[in-house]
Amino acid sequence: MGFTSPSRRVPATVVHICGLALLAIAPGLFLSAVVEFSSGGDAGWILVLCALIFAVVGGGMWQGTRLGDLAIRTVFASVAWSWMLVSVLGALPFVLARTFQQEGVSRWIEVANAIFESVSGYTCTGSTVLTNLPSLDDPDPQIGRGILFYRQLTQWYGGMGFVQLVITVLPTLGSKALGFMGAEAPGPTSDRLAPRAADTAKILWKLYLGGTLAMAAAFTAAGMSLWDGINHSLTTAATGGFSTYGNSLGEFDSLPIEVVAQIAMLFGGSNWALHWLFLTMSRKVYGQDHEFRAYIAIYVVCTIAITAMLTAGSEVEGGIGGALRVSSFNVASMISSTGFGNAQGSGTAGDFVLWSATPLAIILLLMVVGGMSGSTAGGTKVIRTRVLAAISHRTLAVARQPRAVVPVKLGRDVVPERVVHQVSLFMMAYAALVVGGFLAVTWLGGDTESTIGGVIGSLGNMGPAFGDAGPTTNFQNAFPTPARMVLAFLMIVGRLELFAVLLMFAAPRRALRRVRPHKHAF
Amino acid sequence: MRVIVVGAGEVGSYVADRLSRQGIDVYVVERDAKRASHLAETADVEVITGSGTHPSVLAQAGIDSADLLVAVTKNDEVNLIASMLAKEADVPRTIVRLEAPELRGQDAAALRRASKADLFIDPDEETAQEVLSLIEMPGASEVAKLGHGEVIAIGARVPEDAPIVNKTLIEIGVENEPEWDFIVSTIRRGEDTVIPRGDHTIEAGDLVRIVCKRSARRKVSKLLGLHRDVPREILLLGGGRTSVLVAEKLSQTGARVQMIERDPERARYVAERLDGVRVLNGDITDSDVLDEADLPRIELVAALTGEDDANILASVYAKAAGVPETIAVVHRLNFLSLLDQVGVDAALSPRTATANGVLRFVRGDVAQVATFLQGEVELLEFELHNGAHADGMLISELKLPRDVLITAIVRDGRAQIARGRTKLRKGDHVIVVAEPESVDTVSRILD
Repeated sequence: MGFTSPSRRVPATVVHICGLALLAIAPGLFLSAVVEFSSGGDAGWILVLCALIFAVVGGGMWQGTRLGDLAIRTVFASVAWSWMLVSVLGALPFVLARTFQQEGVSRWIEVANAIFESVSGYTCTGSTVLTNLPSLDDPDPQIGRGILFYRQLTQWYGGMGFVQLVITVLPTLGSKALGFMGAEAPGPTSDRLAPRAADTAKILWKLYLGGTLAMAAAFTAAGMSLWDGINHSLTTAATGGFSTYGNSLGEFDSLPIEVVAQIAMLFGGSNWALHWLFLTMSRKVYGQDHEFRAYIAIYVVCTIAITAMLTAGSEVEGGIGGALRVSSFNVASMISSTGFGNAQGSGTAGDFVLWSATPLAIILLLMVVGGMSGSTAGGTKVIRTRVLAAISHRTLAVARQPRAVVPVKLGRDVVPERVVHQVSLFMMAYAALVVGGFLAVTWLGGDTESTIGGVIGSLGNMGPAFGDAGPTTNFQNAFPTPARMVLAFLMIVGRLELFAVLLMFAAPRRALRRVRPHKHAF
Repeated sequence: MRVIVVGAGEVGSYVADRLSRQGIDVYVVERDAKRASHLAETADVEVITGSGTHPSVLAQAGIDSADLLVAVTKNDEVNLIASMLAKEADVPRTIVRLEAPELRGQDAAALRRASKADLFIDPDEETAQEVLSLIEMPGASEVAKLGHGEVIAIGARVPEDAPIVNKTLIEIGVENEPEWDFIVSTIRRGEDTVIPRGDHTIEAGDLVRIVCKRSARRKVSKLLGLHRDVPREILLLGGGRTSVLVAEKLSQTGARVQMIERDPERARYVAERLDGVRVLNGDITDSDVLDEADLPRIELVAALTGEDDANILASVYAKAAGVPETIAVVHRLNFLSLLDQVGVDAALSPRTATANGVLRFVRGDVAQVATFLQGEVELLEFELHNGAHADGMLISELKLPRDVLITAIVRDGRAQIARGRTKLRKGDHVIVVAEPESVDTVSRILD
């Protein structure tokens, strides 16, 4: 079909997938350009240029190569390199439009900030270094609407995963498609919704689009303008947390909007396969799913606990009602790893960095746990926490009765030993990354409190952290530029659940070693 | 009468032997040549080596003139096919052993109908039920349920401190006037089993069988001197299918159940399948393994493996370690009489349950049969048909032989203990204790 016959193309899986991923972003950039033009901004042609660059470079990489080796490490490396490439090149519109231009800030730091914002966007983290976001009182944008829209779109792309999107056009992938999905989808196992893995990816993306539109409608019904509704639904479905306002959702100071956002965030942070099964098969799937039950239980228990603590300590205004409003919102925001805030500005009730230590510790735990597997959320996932608890139970039981045979179970379902080992390994790697990240960021100049929140928040794709990087501030002042780059790296590591990124450096080296003796073959 | 038995495993061999002793022509089909020749040497039956799914083999066994086919191999599919072939050859009745829960469930109803079998049996399930009955009735050595569970026969060796020791049946009757909700059906002393009359005295050490209404089972267990609580800490030895079925039921009642299985893979499989049951991997004859299950806390041990010696040895060890109650499955019945002397409180055989089902079919008009491991009596349940000879007669008018006793009647789902002045009615389920030779006579008198 193509202008080059497949056999003459270079077999390079990584390049092929990366090209497709870049190509997939191009329509988003075109759409942003349309928004920019129609709102009278001046970055329209920049966005068109970026779209062309993505299309041409991506298309070239795609058409110039074909799928080669599909070993699992290559699959993982393809996914990881795609993410690196897209999230770094994704900074291009910010750089060209000089979105991060500031007094007394060098061009290099400006570029670094653009990359940070782009990575934070594509990984659905939602940490921001933008200081001049508009507010409702001052709707005259310093930043063009097209750029703002593109910033929201990055999270939407990252939420369900753009590699999952592109594999739907690769019919030859067959069973290997599941490997790509596994490398990108959060959680230790992925559900198959259709006999063919590529069809499953299609279903999930359609569902994702539908969910986003529904959220936009709900936000608008709750009182947002259509523009705000669309922008916030893009980052809520993705559980990303970028807002077009500096005060996040606190800008609206509206209980209906916060309630809608809470439900939408919890929806995004739960397994999308469940949503599909709910729509197509049985109304009982939510109640039957162990992980969903645990997820909701964590939400309810943490909300009650924080409400009680805030009320008892009179830490927020409005008594128990006020405490419930801020605690439920922030718990939903953290467990779904969205990172919206509902504080109306620094020092107001929703700003959790001002809470006492215990509720703050609960917020930190939620950052570690995160959402469900198969969701758009980050964190180590509820299911891994449950598996870890079951492993601990087994360890204790076997210590008492050495001959006991205790399978790791979730409810009545047995967790295969392979998955048990993977989960243990994952949690160890996660702990090592937290410690390593903490060492690196503090060494580069972060303070203790901000760094703890920053590292765990970045790995879990949360958004706001602690200390100077809390919900009402941004990462610009909390961390020096090199430290922010470390955090950006951790975001990608966290979004791809550690192993893909760890493998991305191994696979090319192996490939090179294999290629070198047969150089003439090319 | 001609019966074909497919499968010469434990169940098949026993059924074949028992039927042949009753004068029935038995043909056994067995695929394994070794097993086939072993059975041919030990039982008076004709053995054909081959598969029960092959029409030629069944033809060799005389399928055209058979009255009953009993398919009891370990393989559900073979049993189903054998039954279907038999029905094609116009065998009037077939019995199929079916184990997979997936085939026993509602989803497979169409398949079972297609096989046209008249009765589906599951020996493991029957054994499990028997074990559960014994666990419910601590201290009893036999428990049998009849009349849809409304009537229970409890057998136990009477200890010296039991309230009924050294009393005649009349005295016991007087003490329990006016309401009679139980009746002493047989007494076994030494090697002899008798159906007692009013002047008979019960002595310590007698194996007494009492038939009672379900509601009176607590009272009867007190009279028999079995005053123990239902055990809550239970150790099952062996992880076979029977054991799994028992564990499933027990853990539903909230008992704390542990299980020991020797094969690591089977242990793992069982542990994955069962919920709330602690599975240990080890040999049940290894005292370290048993100790790891914390024997002093255990209230009942049930040894359910396929090996008699291991079951008995483990039971004896458990008893010595202070476990109050032990139940063992035994496959060879020769040294059954020794068991309660060495510390096994109750023994049961997986064959009898199946054999009972088959015998009921062979006898036709009998609704239920319970045979006991010890002693030559049977407990039978007859249903009085329309126009039966006994309809409207008093029990005292029936002229029953001396070795037959009508113990209880289930009328409209309610049990009552039979007395001489009880009038029988059509539709009654009559529960009778009899020696096997008298079964035909009873059947004639009642019908």
